[in-house]
Amino acid sequence: MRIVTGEPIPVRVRDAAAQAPWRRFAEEFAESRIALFGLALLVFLAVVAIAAPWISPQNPYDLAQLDVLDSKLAPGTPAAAGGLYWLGTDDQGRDMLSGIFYGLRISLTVGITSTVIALAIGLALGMLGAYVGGWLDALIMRVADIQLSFPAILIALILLAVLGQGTGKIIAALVTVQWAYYARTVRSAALVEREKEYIEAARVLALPKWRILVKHLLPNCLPPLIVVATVQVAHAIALEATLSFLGLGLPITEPSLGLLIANGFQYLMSGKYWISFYPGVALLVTIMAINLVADQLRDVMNPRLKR
Amino acid sequence: MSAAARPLLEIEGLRTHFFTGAGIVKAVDDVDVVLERGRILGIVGESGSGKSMLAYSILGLVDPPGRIVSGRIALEGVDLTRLDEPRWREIRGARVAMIFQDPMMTLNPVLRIDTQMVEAVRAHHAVSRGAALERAREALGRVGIASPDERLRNYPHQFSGGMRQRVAIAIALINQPALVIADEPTTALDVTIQAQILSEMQALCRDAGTALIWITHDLSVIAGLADEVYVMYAGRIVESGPVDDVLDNPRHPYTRGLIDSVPSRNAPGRPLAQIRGVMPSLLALGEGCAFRGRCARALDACRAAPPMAAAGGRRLRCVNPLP
Repeated sequence: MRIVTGEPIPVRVRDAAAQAPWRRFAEEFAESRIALFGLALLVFLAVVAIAAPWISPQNPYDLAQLDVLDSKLAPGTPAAAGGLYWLGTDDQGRDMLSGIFYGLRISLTVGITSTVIALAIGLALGMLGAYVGGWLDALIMRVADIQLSFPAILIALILLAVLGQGTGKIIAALVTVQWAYYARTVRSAALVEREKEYIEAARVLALPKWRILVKHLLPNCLPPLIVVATVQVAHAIALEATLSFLGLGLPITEPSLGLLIANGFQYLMSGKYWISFYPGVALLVTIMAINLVADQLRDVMNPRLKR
Repeated sequence: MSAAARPLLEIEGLRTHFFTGAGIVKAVDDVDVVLERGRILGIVGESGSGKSMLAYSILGLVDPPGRIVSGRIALEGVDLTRLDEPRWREIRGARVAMIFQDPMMTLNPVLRIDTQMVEAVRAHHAVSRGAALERAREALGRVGIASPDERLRNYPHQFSGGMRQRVAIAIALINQPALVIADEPTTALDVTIQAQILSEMQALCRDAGTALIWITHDLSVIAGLADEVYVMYAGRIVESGPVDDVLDNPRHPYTRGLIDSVPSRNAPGRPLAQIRGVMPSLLALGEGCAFRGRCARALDACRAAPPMAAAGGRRLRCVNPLP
């Protein structure tokens, strides 16, 4: 047999930056069109929420701008002060479109803030439990177990009944309900990662303990946590909407989406569907967008689902 | 005795036991090891024979429920079993380093190679990032990685298995330790890469005067690499001596069995010589020779613990050795 020597096979060398983990991750994420659509939708909703004071036809918090004579108008009715009520008005003459913009702002703020705080608390407690072990670990995890054995809505209701209403209070309630998920997730991830050889290798190099914990262990525990956090933002928003709908969430002067839905609930049977319907659609679209993104995140970050 | 005349590593009567719910597991039981500077020592044994626990004992990384019960581990005259954690930190990674079995797992997947190498240097030396990076570059060059400047900026997943093991070796050698412990570092690699890494490792240690402990279950690796071999069975050293002596003329029946079960030593078409049975549970060892249940030469005397006997550079723990 003759061995043919010819041109060396060209090796495609990708530059280091293209191979960075976040870059690979972005490429994999973009493989799903529906996830990209979800992400675009989410970005759009976030921009609307942030820009609400500037793009809303009316400031729904400013009672001076509300005209009770304009109450319960159907979508598309011209306003007395000029302009058009695109999505109608509620029983206090509030422009629904403006209400939804502002409501979205509150819902997203509450959802994201509570998730970030709960994530920080859960992360710290979970890592501590996994790293220290022993009775502290047992204590943290039993508290988490007890917490998770009660329905989230029940705990939040009790807390709000005790604390009273307000944005800060509802965030506190949502954090209380959520931290246990993160603590559990990060603990289980850390227990798996801790046994891996690269941690052992770091110990052999006698790197400082905090450095092993923060620079080696923590980043490798993040993927499942990011997925849980994304799903939990949607949960938090839905839970806040539920609480507001039940009248325990935010004050009526600063309506979130849930409160707007509750507001129109009594008129639903009398044909004035828009007061509840459009905030409901906005809530649905928001949660759906977050879940689309979360689904793809889970697929990309879970090595077991790798094709 | 002056420090210079002392061997680099002296282990005397080391016992590392694990106190589990089911009983005491004697993972390392009465082990003596002597290693001179710059020499290569092979530790051979099957899975669960305690060879990795011996390595972790030397590094002071035995996790609960295990602990060193008794014995002395002297590295450069310092008894490692009595060190506190701050003193350990000066020795671990600087005077003694370790290379692990699976190169896919020993590098942190989310950190770039330069980050991991620089932190290895700076954990032990107060040098600037630039100086540490320079060392990292040299270290990568030494282990035969082409264009180290580019490779430093890569992530572990961009390296092949053999390359990753080279990076791991470079990290282990970066602080010029006096002793490197390699725990089956070529087992996960294919045979050609294995041979390359072996010869490079040998050359690197010879050049730097680094002593090497090579832990493996593969006798053919030890044959070409080590100066001395220690055969371990159920937590005990059963035979030790110069590698040629032991492999050419094994006297412990277990060593003989290990050598006979190397495929290349068997005639084609004949069944592979095996050691019958499996290693007994370390929980149920009791007194006496742990190998006696599988040994063709077992006597009644084997029920009592066989003493370690020295004979002409060889040490042997057997009451009825092969001639």
